[in-house]
Amino acid sequence: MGLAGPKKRTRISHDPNNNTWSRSTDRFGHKILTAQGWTPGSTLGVHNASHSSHYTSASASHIRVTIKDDNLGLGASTVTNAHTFGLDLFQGVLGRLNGKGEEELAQDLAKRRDALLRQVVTKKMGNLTFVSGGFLVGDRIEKIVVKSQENSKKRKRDNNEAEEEITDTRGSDEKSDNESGNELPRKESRKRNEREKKEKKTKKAKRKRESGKHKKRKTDRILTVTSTATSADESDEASPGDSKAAKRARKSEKKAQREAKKAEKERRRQESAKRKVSRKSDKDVEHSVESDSTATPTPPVLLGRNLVRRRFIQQKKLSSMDQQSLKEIFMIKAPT
Amino acid sequence: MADRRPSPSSSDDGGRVKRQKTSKSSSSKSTSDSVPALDPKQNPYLAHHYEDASDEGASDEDGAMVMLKHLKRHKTTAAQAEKIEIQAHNPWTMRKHSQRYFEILNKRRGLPVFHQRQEFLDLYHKSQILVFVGETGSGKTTQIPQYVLYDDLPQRKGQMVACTQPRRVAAMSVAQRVADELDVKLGEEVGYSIRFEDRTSEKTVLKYMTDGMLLREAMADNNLSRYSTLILDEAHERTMATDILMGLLKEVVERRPDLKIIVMSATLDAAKFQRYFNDAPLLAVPGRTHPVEIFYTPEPERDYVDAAIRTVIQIHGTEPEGDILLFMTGEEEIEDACKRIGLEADSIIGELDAGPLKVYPLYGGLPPQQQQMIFEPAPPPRRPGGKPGRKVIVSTNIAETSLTIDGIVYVVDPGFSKQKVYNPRIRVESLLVSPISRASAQQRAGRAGRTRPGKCFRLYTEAAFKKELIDQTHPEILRSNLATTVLQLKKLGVEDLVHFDLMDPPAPETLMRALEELNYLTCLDDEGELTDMGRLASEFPLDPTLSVMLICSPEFYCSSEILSIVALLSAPQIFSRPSSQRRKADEMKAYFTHAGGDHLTMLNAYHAFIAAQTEGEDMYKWCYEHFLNYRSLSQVVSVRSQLQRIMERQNIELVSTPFEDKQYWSNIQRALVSGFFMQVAKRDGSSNKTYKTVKDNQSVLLHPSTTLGQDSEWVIYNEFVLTSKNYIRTVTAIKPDWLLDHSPEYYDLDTIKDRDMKLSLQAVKDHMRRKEAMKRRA
Repeated sequence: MGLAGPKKRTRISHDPNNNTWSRSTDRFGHKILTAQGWTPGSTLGVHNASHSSHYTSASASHIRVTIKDDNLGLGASTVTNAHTFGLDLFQGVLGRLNGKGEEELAQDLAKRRDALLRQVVTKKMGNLTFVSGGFLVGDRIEKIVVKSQENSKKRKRDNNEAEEEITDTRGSDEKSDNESGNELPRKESRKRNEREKKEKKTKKAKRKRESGKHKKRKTDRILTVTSTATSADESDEASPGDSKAAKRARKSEKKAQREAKKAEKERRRQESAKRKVSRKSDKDVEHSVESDSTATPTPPVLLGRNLVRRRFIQQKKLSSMDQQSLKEIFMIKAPT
Repeated sequence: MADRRPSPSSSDDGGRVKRQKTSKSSSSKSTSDSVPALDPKQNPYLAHHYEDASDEGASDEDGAMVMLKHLKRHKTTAAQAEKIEIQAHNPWTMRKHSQRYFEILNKRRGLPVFHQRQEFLDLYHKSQILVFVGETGSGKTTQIPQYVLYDDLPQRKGQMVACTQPRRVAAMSVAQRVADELDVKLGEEVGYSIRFEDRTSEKTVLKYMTDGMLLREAMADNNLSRYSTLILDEAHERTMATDILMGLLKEVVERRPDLKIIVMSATLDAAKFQRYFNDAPLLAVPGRTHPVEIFYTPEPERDYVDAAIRTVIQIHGTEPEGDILLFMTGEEEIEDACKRIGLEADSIIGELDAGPLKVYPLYGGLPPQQQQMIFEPAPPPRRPGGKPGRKVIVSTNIAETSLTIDGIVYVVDPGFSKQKVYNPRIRVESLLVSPISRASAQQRAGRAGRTRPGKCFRLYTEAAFKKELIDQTHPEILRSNLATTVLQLKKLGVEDLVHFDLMDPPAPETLMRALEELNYLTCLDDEGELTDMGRLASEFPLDPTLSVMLICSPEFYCSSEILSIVALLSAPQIFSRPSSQRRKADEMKAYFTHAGGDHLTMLNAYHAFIAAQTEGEDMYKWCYEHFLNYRSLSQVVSVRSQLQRIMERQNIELVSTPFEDKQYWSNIQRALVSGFFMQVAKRDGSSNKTYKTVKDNQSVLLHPSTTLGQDSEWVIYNEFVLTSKNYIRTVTAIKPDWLLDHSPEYYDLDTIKDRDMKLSLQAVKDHMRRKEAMKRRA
């Protein structure tokens, strides 16, 4: 908090550790202990006890603790300026319902309820993200129990940054785990993960993601038909996946690339889509700009000064939503 | 069969032989002895079907008895014991087994320990000390003592098997459970013994007790000759009493080769136990736990309370069914968190179709009926087919090991707990919020996997888990003032305190401080030997300061009042000050205030409570109106009566100065000095507010809650509170000449280094001398 923080006035005594007492050797306690064969500097207990290797420093001198009078979490320090700009507030927005059968309808309803609940909770409380640290089996943590499960679970609640981090570590984990020297490139290991995940359809996260995909495809179709979706329309769409840029990218990629790589692409795209969701408010701006560059029949006429101005505003908006840029603007040194 | 455990000489034969004769036609006896294991009658799962049949026959009522009798002590096998267990009659009581017994027996045979019964017996036969490791849920606490019972047969020698527990509640509830399992009445064959309550009889062969109780028994009987086997359960918790018992038993086993010891622990640091007990054999039994997935936060949290609440709400909103356990540090934090979670949850439920959420606090100071509420099932969905409800338990670390709550699937762990630490240099014992240990974090996480695979959300990073946490929680013996312990050890006959073989020897300075305190309290003489005062003080289950004060109080004609004050100081805070009604609470407290200090104010409140009680008021209401804590006060009353009984036994008279007497209050203050003369602070020179502790010279402030009204240069204090500022709490004014009068050794001016303090004490001393001279002249 520095100078702005509340002032704490404490009076430190002349000898806060009471070294006068601890150094004096003519005390009763000292006398008794030395009389019983204790030498200063040694620990108590039986001479050369077999378990003495298990002694801790607390057997030598009393336990020292720092007084904690704040709610600072474990590992957090007052000095590093960690961020909370609330970027993670806008996560997990799910697509809207398009009911078919009675059962599906009910399913969708439940799904939507869950999603809405999640969203409101998220909005209300802010989203906490967690990084999986493996499974506790007995009293040990085992890292590599049912990998795919772990991954899909991890995926579920992570924000994009954390996710990138994880995929990195996951990749390396995978590599190190493959003892057979199977040094797959990261892409491929990811791909394999993807496949594994596809097989694990029972996982809730997967279900959720699929429903997202499903909707995405649908909306894509709509987009190709109308080919001009206004930004207002899109912002109404609650589905995370629909953005024209993404659509465009996928189209071209589809042509260019083989079928096997598609899954990987989709995943990436989703990530980018997710990122977009997290910047919900600048979404419409983005879209309208993108619609400038696409070959849509009726682009809004923006010329010269207006165009420049618009871009400028947009950039500002974008940067104010991006944590890294914000840090640059406020000249905050990133803790990492 | 009133007494099956007569004096060792007559042994158990007499009664049993006679019974054998009366039912001589027992063909079933021989069958049950020789029938192969495949007989359906032997099948525990079918046993209840044959109950009647066997009864119709010639009643094998003695079958079980005879079989038990034929067992060779320390040579039995698991199969033999299992055979006896499925007999229609109970070998311990001779009564027919109830239906329930067989139901429980079935369950017992599904426990993980059951499969290693033979293995256990083999090791038990072979060695005197055995380390047994079993995770929670393995059934070790209930089963192992019974396995021992069927092999050790302590009744033959008129002995007992004892199993210690760190907590009273555990001792009581486990004893009840085991009594049900053995189909006997609690208090007869199976009993328990805790402080101030002994439910055993001469029939008792298996006794559950607190470790403190066993230690007390060891003081009276250093060889613990009543016991044939001692089982130290939950040794991993490393309570003070367990630690001392372990050190003691290491000595006892050498004197008593017939005594067997089993040390039971959860998986943690078993190697250390083995090492400590001269490489005793180890038997490990897997628990019945499900995998728990651990989640860390990617970044450290700014506010762990806030993060914890958010996590709970997030779990409620996003995770499938299952109850949540949230660990917090203290009562206040827990109540606050409960309130906030409740509010947040209500607002979601109001807006959306979220499942209902019930929040329960859990901490030691909670009334028992409220503690019981945590075992209620989660609330049902608000309408059929709706989202299922969930319960959240916000708890201190008592839910970490001591209490098992089924249905917990999610654990939220902020990584802190309140822990006691003792600093021998400034003589402060305080409860401080500090990071937990890794072992403790794992234990917390493990709570999520009791019923099905769970998740643990740790509100810190993985790096913090690895770097910032210590490996193991320090045992209590390293975190406490040792004055009581030293007194106990002396009473136990341990002369050489330096080389007493403890698993974790305390810091030398802590031991020195304890010795010095006891010396000034005249519990130890200058050679370090126990004095009469020390012997007397060790009879009280109190801090030596308080016991000595109580013992000295008749000299000041106020032992009744001091007894009340001691009881008040041993119970939790009696004044309640809810955050919403602080002013009102303070006004009410002013009603009891005595300007002389907090001890006297507390005494006033206690007297008012007793007066109201005798007038027959609704005490709960009365306490509520006066902002007093009814539970604490009832505890005070019960502690007081228990202490009074000890006083009567030790012939300490209960006297009191008449209230009208001018000396009434000052007598009490003087008596307080007789115990608290080492906890004195003097106002620091010019400053009006700061005080300085005598000898240790620590600058302190009076705690804002104090009722000390008069301007007092010298005060005694009960507690040194460490926060960002150093406070002394529960303060009472005294006169310095009382100090010099009562403990000239402690107030030897040569040992006082602080100049200001020395000068003023010198002045007091001179004044006293002059007064004395005047008196003599007159």
